[in-house]
Amino acid sequence: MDKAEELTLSYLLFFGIIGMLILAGAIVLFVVVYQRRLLNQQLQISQMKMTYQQKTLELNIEAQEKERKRIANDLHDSIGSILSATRLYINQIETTKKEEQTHYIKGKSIKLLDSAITNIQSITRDLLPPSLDRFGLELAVTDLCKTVRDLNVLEIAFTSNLNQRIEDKQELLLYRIIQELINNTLKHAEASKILIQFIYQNNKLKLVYSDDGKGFQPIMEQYGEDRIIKEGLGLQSIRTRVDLLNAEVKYATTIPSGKGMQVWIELEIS
Amino acid sequence: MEETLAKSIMSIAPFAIFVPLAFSIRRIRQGSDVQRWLCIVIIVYAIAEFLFFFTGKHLHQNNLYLTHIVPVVEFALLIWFFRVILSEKVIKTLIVLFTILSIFNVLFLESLNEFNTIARAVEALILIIVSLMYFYRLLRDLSEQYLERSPLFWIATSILIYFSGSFFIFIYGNYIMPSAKLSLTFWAIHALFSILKYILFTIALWIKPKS
Repeated sequence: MDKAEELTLSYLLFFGIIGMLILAGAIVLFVVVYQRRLLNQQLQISQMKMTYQQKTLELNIEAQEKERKRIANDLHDSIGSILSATRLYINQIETTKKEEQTHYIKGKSIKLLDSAITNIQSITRDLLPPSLDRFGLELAVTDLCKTVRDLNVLEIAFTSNLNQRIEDKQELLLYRIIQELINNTLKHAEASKILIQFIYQNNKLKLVYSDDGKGFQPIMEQYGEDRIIKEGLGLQSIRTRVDLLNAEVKYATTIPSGKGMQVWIELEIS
Repeated sequence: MEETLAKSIMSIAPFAIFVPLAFSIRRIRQGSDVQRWLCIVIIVYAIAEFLFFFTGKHLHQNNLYLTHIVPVVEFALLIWFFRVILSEKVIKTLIVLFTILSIFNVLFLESLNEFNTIARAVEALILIIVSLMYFYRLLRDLSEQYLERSPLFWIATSILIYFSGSFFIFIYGNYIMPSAKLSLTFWAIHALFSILKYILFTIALWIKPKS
């Protein structure tokens, strides 16, 4: 090997070694940095999921408490007071000797007890409508619409081409969602019309709910890199039930034109 | 000046094995599985270093035949670390194939009196690829929360850097042999990588095993 050849070889070798070394070092560095970044990202996502779950749980508990309070109030106001009054009347039977008076008290007590029974029926209907279990979702929703119509605050229409019973669980969840949607409309929307539609096609049921109220302004919240709708108790309970249905939900609202809002929920019917 | 530096590096390098060897004594009993295997690897490296030193410096032999034997053992020991990413069957197949290649190399390509370039280059290449596969797996599975506390990460880093750095020296081993100057320079560089390899192995042994 002459001098020149030796020099070329040594340069070649030298740069080869340096090149390989830089490559190996860069790979190790990349792995270390990128692995840390990925781990951080994963941690962030799992934390986000946890806060979301925590929030859902809190809202669920809150909703449950609210419901309990409502039932307690209902029982107290419409049953408790009637039964107390009845008791007072019955107490009087002992002290009075006049048959006429006794007859009057009996009549009054029976009237009060009748109204207590009616109230209990209406409370249980609120809790779980008997028509849902016995006659299915369509009839239960029709009943619900009738109840709302009797309030005389707005028009309500319901159309359906379902014509069949679906799973008990799905029926109940859909019923609750419709109840919640109607509640929201009655409470916040200042609407004059509600339209509820069941559209059944290719084993899929689409629930379309719309009103002509003032709509709602979704408050957006930053969740990591995503912006999602910050949900109140009402929307949250709908979301929970939609999740349980394995369904999809979409909202549309136009603010502030007052053209109301629409909700689409689509689910697979087995 | 350069020559003395290269010579001193070359003479220090074999003794670098004593550092991880000292740690091995402690970890062989109370280390993780990977660390215990590393202890065995280091003991074998120490024996190899001793053989090179003894046959070369003491018996003044041409000990190039050792460069044909040592890689076979080294390859089997090092590839065994990657049981986490390769099945035992694949590892065993690789070991058998590499051994066959080494024997074939001695018999038909490079004699015992030449430097073993082909088998060493193949060994380096396979170990580089396997350690890259390990790194890829680290990123894919995210199984290790703290890389710096994983002995296998340091071992894979050591293997990747040592074999990448030495790859061209292995390939050109027979070319540089006739020139004493080139030989000295590049084997001194190789010795530096050797020292680095032992330092990284020491770190892998230093890590306290998870209880």
